[in-house]
Amino acid sequence: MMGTHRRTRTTPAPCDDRLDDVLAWIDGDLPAARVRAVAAHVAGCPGCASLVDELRLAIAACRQAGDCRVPSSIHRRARTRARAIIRRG
Amino acid sequence: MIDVVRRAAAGDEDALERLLIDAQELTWRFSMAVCGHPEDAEDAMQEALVRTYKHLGQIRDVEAFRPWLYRTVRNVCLMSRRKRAGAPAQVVSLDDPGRDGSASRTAIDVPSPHPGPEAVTSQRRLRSRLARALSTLPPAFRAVVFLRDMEGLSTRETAQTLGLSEDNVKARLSRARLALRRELAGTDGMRGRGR
Repeated sequence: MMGTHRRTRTTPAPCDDRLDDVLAWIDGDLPAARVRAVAAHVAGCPGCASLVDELRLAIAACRQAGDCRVPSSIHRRARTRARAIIRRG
Repeated sequence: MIDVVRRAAAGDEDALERLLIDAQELTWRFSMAVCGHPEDAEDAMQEALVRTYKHLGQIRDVEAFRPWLYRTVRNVCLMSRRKRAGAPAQVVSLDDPGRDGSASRTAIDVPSPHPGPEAVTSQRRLRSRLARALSTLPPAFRAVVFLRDMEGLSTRETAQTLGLSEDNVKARLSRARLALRRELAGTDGMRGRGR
């Protein structure tokens, strides 16, 4: 059964009454007893499926940013300071 | 990290240098992603360096080092902002999720570890959009996104670092992700949503 949709002209809207479950499902925090039902809902609901895709994109973008190294100038200064404090004891 | 901490605490100079560099780089990332003030980042790095160096002599439990480091980084970044002359009106609050008037900027403009030309362009574009999207979030939400999604901390570790309940972390993360998703997707389909 589909939940309550919000309507926009551009993208299918996710279901308001499923939002908390969908968010918990993405994070793996959904109780096991509800996982199958939420997964089935998302598979059959374009709005919630779109929400899941976009949230996963946002999460992946954050993880990618987190994987990046700091600029080399920052790294060099950090190394210089680290060596100095070790030398000073 | 645990092995490096153990070796550093035992007096291994290479491990100590590695750890002190890591602490400073983490501070820089937190400062830029959450507080968004480059002028504060260097001060915060220096302070984190000194605190980490002093702390290493007192380590009893190497597994407790990582949570200690994240809490320390959070504290030195906030203190850096507060100490800066003329900044009181822009103090970053990590306690008030509704506050968004910090006038802070967010920069994630860091080099890619995989410098192929197309990948660089694509990643730079995505990082730029993400930085813009993050800058629209209140600092309290940015801190949760930084720790959970960018640094890979667990919900429990994030809660301990920020002094929040795990439920509060989950709620802030959900709300932040919805806002980021809206900004990254360029859609207003979820505008006004959130807990």
